[in-house]
Amino acid sequence: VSSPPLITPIGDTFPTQASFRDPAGAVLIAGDRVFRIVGAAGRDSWAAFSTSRGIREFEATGKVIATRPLDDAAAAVARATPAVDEAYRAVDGQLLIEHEHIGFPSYPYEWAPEMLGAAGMLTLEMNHRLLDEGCGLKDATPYNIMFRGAAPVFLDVLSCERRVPTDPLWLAEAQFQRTFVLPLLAHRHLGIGLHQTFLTHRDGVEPDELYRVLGWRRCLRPPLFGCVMMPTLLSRKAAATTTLYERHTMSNAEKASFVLRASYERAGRALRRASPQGRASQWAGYMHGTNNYRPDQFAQKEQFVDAALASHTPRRVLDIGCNTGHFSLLAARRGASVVAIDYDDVVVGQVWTRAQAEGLDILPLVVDLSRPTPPTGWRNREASSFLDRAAGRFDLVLMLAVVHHLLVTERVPLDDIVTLASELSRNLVIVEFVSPEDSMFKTLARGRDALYQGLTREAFELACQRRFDILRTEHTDGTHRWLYLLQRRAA
Amino acid sequence: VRHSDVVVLAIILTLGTVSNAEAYMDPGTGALIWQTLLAAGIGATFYFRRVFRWFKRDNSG
Repeated sequence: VSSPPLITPIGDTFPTQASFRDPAGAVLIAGDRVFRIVGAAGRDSWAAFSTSRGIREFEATGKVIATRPLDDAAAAVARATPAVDEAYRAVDGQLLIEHEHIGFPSYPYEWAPEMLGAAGMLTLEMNHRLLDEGCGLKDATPYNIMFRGAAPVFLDVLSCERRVPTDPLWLAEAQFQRTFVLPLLAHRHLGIGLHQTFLTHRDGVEPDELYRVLGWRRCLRPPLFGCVMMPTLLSRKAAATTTLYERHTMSNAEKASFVLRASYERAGRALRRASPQGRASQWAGYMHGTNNYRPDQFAQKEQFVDAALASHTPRRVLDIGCNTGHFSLLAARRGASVVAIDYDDVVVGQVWTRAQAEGLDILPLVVDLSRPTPPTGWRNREASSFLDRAAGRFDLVLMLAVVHHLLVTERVPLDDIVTLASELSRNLVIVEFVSPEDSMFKTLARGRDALYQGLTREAFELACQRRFDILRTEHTDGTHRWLYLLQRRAA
Repeated sequence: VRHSDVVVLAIILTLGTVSNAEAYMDPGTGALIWQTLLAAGIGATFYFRRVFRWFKRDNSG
């Protein structure tokens, strides 16, 4: 981690709720810096993590979060803050470590299914590699992973453990199924989005829930047979067997690791089969024919955005209603770090696949701006809302072909939309005004034209000017659409 | 997995017909039993793995 040495003012902004479930430690967040206290219960995990050669390899390739222990002087400075000291005592602290800061935190309920699949694959890849050294991961949950751009990064360093060499069982397998494989199967077979699953079920989907809905016939095929049917039937038959969780060992360590590897491989096959392949979407064709632009009109729009990117070189960009991610790609290629949101998980999955393949710094998320992700978890303090994470984080916010959806479909007042834009961006906004004469506008309005009589270009500009200066305007030839480059006025 | 465990599990599976749908059940139980059964099966193939590998090599070559 190439961040500056720890200095005093880490103050009152320390939520210590981020990882209370694991007694091994606590996570502290101070502005853009992330610290972790290694407690007495986490000492062995830290030893396994910090001495593992596999972990060093993963760190070097960015698959594990960059981590360094603080020296005594820096730790003493940190503990001078009462909140830190309190957390330190609570877990019987042994050591303070600092993590690389992930640009934009995201959670499984905001991921496209492809991203959950990639997070699961990383979990398995780490388990495979760690087994070479006699280690493993204690748990298997997507909450241990976030995305740096499009790349999954493993965060929970205290999940590492040294295994009993003769133990062939992967205790976290059921958790892996619940939180990776089954949500993907529910999505694939029933069209249940990950946000639907994870916003209401932190711990994923139970096999019997899926079994009830899918029925036994469909569950005869893999991977449903092993992930849904057998676990459901066996748990019905099983009495409360406490002996099940006692350690089962084999006579031979080599045999135990042979069996364990087979479990990881089986989980990998199930995950691949559960992951989406070639999905269709209402909006996926938007860029190829179903949109309202001719190629020359689209090129004009592209030039407008690209000129703004070139002259203002924003570092962080939020693309609202990103669709196929055309403008996110444009921004990323100009060196920006992009968060791209859309409510359609199919297009988000496509943007992710492309960003991942081209190594672009784009984090695509399934977020509906009209109903953005709420704060979640215990006391609503485990994970903050999308708007809390996004507010004031971006140098440029793109709102292309999106305002009319908010105005018409969601019936959000124009002034509110402008206010939100000024909260998300700390400098620039590119917004597209689509007038009520536009055919897409008419489609959305479904004949309720009277509602939008006052919505003229002049009214739109007046609303923008309450919080922004208009730097540039351009009418897209032959359309009822105008592009605006806005700059936020200091409050 | 010792042989006795497999026997115990087999007994649980075949004789444990009492329906306990209302009882609290750890949701991971079924998956763990299934994994244990598979482990027993795969463990049994361990001593033949060289034979499998030899076959694989023979086929691919």
